[in-house]
Amino acid sequence: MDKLYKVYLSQSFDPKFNLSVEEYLMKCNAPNEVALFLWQNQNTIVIGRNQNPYKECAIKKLREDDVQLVRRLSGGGAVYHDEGNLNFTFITTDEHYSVEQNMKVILNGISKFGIYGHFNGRNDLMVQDRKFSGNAFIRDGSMNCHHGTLLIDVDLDKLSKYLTVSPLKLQSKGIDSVISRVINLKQLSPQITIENLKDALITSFNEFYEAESQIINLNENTVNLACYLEKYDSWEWNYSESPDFSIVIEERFSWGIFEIHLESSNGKIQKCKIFTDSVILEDFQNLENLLQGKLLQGQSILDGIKHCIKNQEIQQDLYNLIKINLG
Amino acid sequence: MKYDLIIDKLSGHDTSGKVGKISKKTGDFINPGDVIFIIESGKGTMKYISKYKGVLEQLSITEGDIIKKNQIIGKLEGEFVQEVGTAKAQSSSPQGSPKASYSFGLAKPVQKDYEVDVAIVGGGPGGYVSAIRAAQGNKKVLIIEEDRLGGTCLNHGCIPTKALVSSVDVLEKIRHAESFGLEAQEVKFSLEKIMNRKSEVVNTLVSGIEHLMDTHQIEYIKGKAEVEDSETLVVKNKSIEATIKFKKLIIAAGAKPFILPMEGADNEDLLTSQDLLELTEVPSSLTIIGGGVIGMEFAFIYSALGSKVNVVEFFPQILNTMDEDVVEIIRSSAIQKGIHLYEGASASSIRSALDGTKIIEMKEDNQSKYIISEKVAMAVGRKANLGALDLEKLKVELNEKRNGIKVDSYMRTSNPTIYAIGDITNIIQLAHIASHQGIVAADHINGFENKMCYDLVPSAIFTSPEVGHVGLTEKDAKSQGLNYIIGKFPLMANGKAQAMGEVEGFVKLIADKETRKILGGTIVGIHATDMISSISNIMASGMTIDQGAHVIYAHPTTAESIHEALLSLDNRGIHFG
Repeated sequence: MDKLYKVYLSQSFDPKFNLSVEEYLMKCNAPNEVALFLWQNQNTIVIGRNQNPYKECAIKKLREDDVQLVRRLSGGGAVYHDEGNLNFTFITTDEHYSVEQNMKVILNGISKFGIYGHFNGRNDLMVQDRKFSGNAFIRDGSMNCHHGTLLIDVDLDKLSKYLTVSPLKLQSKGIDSVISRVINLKQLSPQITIENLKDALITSFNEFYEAESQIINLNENTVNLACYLEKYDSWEWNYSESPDFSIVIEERFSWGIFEIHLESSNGKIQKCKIFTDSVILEDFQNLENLLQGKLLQGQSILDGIKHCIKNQEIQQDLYNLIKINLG
Repeated sequence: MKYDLIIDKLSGHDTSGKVGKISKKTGDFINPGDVIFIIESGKGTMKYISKYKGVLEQLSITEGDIIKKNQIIGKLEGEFVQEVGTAKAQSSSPQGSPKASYSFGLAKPVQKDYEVDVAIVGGGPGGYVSAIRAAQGNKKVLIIEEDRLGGTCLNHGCIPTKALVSSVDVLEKIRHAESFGLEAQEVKFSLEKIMNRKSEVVNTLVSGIEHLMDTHQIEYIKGKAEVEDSETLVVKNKSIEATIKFKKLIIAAGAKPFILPMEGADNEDLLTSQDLLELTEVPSSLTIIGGGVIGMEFAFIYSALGSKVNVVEFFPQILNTMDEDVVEIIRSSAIQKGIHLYEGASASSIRSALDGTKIIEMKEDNQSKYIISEKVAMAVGRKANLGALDLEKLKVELNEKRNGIKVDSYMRTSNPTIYAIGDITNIIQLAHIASHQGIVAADHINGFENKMCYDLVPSAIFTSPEVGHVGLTEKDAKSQGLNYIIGKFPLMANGKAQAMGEVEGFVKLIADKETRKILGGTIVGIHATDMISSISNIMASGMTIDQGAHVIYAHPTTAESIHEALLSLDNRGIHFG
């Protein structure tokens, strides 16, 4: 049977929807299908499968600026997406899967704008020694997913603002992000836009496979992905599916130094230890006990503080401290 | 029943990964298909899925650990379940198109036409080096390889044998720990693990060459090349049908093990050097027909692993081109290790006994003698793959002996647009000759006329101890009637060799008495193959003995023995003679 070439175009800018589409295609694609999926997210941080959001990004700034945080299925580090970024995904079975070929499709596509990049043999597409596309991979049985970003006109200030590593003392056994020197393709070729790049990538895909692929538009109304959306929308998946980690938050206040050590596993506080030289008598011991077993989530810690700490000033200070660091 | 949980695969060519999120813990009940943890390697993720149903008794990994292929990561008490159900999600497909139907492996190959400056058939050390060199001259290059890049050298020759030699070296070191003042328990090994390590070394290097092809923008097609006409090749594989028009062609199709025609030579149990690299169990006894470089390397490897090894050599001595004093060191080392050498003996038949044991008949001093052994291997040289391409269609002629392609000193064949390099020319079958010929051919295509010259070809033999040689042997000098002098320095008198406990061997130099230039050298002993290039350099620079002896050698190194051998040429050795 001939191979089926399909290009899916997302009309949604919601990362939860787009990641759901990927997972759906990996589950439901026919074995002879080679799929290219093009999509964009509105202000979003996407972290790697085995990463810790508290470690990778400034959670407080995300909350302030209404940036979504989503965990993806593939490995690697945290990335920032906005509407100046185009994502591509190749989904196919082992038999038709080749990262090198996929990279060629992308490189041929951008060469139509006079930009000649190269694959650095690992995970990145580079031009002038700077990265414009980071890539990551998922393998599930014989199904493969290769996706990557393409920086066209991304707000690089925001990128570095959100991905600034947390000032928390945090030890995690997961995967650390690697900082790269990046470049927007628009800088190299002013006429490039998201729309004409999409066209170029589709043409390149068709040329490479000498096929006339079927184009399918997707949005929340054309396909029902409720079962996947639920996961990407959940705090449990996005925040607590991290490998175990420990975190230390410390601050000097007018009433003394406060230091809290939290060990977390599966999103729950497994151990909690508080150190303080505060002369005001407060039941920190009780707070320690209360927090053990609770979700490592701003709200549950705030509730605990309210319950145990009577001094208004200390309560307010700790409230702010937790809010800033854990959201 | 108890099962070991093993890392049986990782994504792509990766050999190690990192443990990501672990979702099960000791004591959990596991169903087949359950995800136990996520493996991350090279930014890819993969689920570690249970094939068993039962209780997780032990999980010896924690998040963040590095895991390797074939590592055992835990134990499970339960049962193996044959087929893990691959339940498909039941949600409807986009735009309500009907549920896709299934088909496997019948995809039609894509037709592709290439027009290149240089096409290369064969991706061994000749082919891939010439590809890079041609690409450096801004040529559009395409390389075709039917097996794996790296050719025989990397996949079935030089490199895997050296990986085995390294394992065996460690084994021998531990066995002799006592002489270094150490006490070690009896050392155990698994041939399977030794072979796995060897494969890892090979895979790393193969992917390195793939990467080199990529960075030089060399098109690489896997498949068998066929000749369409004298300017066109075709390659068909599962995914493409390529037609390649070339301006120049380099044939680098290599050679394969030669099998001596004798009774039983067609026996399918007869092993070649390639088979000896794939054994999973150490044979109790092994007879190797052929005591040349390949035969002797394997004799030492399998003897160290515990096989009773016999070597049958037709010539009067093993490693026949080498001088008698060199061979004597290797011979006595072999005998001391329990290897039986039958020199000047010609194998005449191989027969199988009822239990599969092999009976090798040989003629020694005109008498028939018999050797019985579990396995028998043949390593009597390699013959050019002249059948790899239709040479007639390419208008490429063979040499006078008709055992290789005829080439000139720029590696051009009788058809001036076609070059041939490496084993298929049958001039000298060594990887470094193939690579150098590849450079000469590609240079010529790029417009640089550098002639191929075979005066200074080093060779390396990885026996125990090893041998390095370059230029003339004493035998050669004698048979050419040269007026020569000899300098020889035994490693026994070298401080570093004594400290290492590796005192077998010597450095031997041959110089012209008149011109006082070095004509050749042989080193037998520790570091011999690494040291031989110093002698190559002395010879290539045209130094006299006196100039060479004025170079300072670092102390304490085994290389000081080269200095001493230079001095010995005039009987002026400091530490010996």
